[in-house]
Amino acid sequence: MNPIAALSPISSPSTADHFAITFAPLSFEEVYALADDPANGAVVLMSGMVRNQTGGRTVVALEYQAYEPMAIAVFKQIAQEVRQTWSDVTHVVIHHRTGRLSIGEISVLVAIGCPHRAEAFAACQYAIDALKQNAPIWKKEWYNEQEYSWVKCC
Amino acid sequence: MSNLIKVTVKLFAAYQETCGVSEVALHLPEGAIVAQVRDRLLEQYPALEQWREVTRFGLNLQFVEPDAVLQDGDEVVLIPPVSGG
Repeated sequence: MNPIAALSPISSPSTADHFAITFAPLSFEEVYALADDPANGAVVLMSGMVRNQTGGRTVVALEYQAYEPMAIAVFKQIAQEVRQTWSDVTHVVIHHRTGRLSIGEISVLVAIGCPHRAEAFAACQYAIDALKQNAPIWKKEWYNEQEYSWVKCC
Repeated sequence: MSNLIKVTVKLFAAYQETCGVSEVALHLPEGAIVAQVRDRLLEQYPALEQWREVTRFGLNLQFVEPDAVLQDGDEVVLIPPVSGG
């Protein structure tokens, strides 16, 4: 057995990527660690959180619902598309939260590891945009304790 | 006379809220298309009519066109405008 080969395992895209939909709070550190890699020159990590207003109207909370198995399938598809365009990407990590979130809580984390920053930025932007467009995830905006609406577009 | 197939329909957001459940089972004629699932629900719940033109369809976890043909045992999801992120 070649000892050099044993020291350089080639990780397949499927094991290098990580996708999750959780009711529990998201972990910035965990997502960063999952994208970390000796081959990286950059990790771009996008954090989406609950904002206190939309179009000037006060928002007190967001409630997320996901069709989890299909959302995970969409995340995998997004990672495939990322790798088709930016083949140097080392890791694609997408974690999304469900349930009721208060102002400032993190709803989504997308991290891309890459040898170079330009590709990492571009791939991360692509991934979050594609997620917003296609992942079967919905949010209800709560304006106070009684009034809400399902968001009709992102 | 044609046989019936049974599909499971997953409901989310406005669909779930209006129907009051997260899942329904529907019996449809053999050869039925996925858009008929939406039509059947809208007949029953006219309040959902506002979502007709903006609803997309998922079949066994994949996006499909409205004319995708259903098989017995399929899992359908009606996808009103998504807003993840």
